[in-house]
Amino acid sequence: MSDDLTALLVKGSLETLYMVGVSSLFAFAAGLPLGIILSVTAETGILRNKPLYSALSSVVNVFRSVPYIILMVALMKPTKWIVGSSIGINAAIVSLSAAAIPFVGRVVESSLREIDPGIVEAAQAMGAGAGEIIRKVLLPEGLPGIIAGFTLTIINLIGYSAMAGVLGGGGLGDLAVRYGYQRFMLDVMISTVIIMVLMVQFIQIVGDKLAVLTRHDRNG
Amino acid sequence: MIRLSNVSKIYRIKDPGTSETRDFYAIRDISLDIGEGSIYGIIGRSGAGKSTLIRCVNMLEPPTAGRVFINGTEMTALSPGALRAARRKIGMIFQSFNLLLNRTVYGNIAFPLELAKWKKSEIRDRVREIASLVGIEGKLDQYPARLSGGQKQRVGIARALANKPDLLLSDEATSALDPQTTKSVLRLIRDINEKLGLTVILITHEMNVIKEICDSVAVLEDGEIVEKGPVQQIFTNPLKKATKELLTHVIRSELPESFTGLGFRRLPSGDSDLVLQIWFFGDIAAKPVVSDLVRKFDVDVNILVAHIDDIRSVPFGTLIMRLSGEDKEGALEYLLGMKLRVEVMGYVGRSDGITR
Repeated sequence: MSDDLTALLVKGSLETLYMVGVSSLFAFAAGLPLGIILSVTAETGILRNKPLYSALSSVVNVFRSVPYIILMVALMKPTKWIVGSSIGINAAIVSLSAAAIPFVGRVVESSLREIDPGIVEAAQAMGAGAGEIIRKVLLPEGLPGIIAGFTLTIINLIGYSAMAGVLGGGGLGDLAVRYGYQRFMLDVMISTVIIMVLMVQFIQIVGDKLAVLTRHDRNG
Repeated sequence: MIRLSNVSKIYRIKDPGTSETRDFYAIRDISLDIGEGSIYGIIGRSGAGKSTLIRCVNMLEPPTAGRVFINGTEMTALSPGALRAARRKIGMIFQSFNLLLNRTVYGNIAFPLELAKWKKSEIRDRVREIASLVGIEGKLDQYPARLSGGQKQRVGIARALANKPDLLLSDEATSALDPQTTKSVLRLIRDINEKLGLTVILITHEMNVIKEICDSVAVLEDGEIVEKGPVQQIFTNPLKKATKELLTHVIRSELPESFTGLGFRRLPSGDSDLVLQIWFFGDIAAKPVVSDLVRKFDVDVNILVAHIDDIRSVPFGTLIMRLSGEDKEGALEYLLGMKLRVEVMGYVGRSDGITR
């Protein structure tokens, strides 16, 4: 493989890491509070609020049921207002975040929902307020599940970012399409696949490790 | 002192058939006075409303009607903030322990102290102190998943006591434990009650728990208190069917089945034998009542059922016996004159009966 190609692969990898990294940050920053609000306003939550829950839940469902590739196209206009362009890696971050935020919200909600309601009741009996219950009970007890959900989100975003590449988003997906597919350069195709597999493996191993380290609710 | 006055909890439920809503009383018009430093038991079968009742005390289930007072504070009238502050002085322990699984034993005991904004160094001292009081000082770094049921409940008790509460609520705290562990946990609650003068309200479906540690008991059936009073009174003189049924698990006071088949009658006929049940409590249990009876009167005594037990280390028991012979009326008079509760259960013909 020539030096040019190596440089291309390095650039593509960095772009992918940038897209995935930044959109993951946005996804966690917005998805975590979203998930908390969903879980506490739900029927069984500590701040039960049916209208708010139904409204948020519907929006989340709409975003989650639109396939990513369509979401990307649908968001082209708003993307242009936000980052000034509807293509390129910064444009891809907008649609990647938009796809990942509701996903993270649901993952966080379901992790928090798995917590035994008796534990929350015990905290209420000890005089804990809603904020204290969220900070000291729900988040620490749900942490392993949340970490597992974040891991899954990042892996999904690696896949989505390759799709974003098809619409001129940059990154490894873009490389694979322009060189590997359109110019029949099999070595580029294989290299991008290998790099992505390694990225996914790495994220999965680190995520699993963190989830195990934070999980104490099992005997072992 | 804790006072519940006319407390009811009503749920609106929808009838699935007619889709009409109606009121369901989980508890109805409950009034209780619970003295400071006492251990008050509330017993009932599942669905009787025990768990709603105990949750009305700390307002986890705010009553629909009625008022709850704890040491003069009306719980039912507090603002949310004042209620949270009041709850910090009420410990609660649970059947399923409800420990924070991602906190160590230390972290669990420290939790209520963090809520009450104790200083770090004070928390450390208090956690050590309370852990050794309940006997788990060696487990502070462990996570709850590694502990046995009994140890988990000890952590639960330590957590409930950490912020020096005035009242401890126990929600079936021993129901998930084996009999031996139950005994040791109950003993711990008793010790704490004596050492700290802490008032305890506990709910249970087991008379054994009441017998072991309670001073007073209220029997709950279908959301209402059917009988209440000091434990010895309820045990020796239960008036209501629900109470008697709950007691049958602790005290055998039924006639053996082989006996009831043998011409047992409620009314006397000819010179039939008497079947008596006597209940004794306290000092009299140590006296040779039956042998006195045989010595003083011309009667034969055949003991059919005998049961002796302790209510908080005071002996207590019941005997069912068959009395035959010339002077059984005199013997009955003699028994009625003693500090015993005597009940004539019925009669059996002399030729009928149990072969010895």
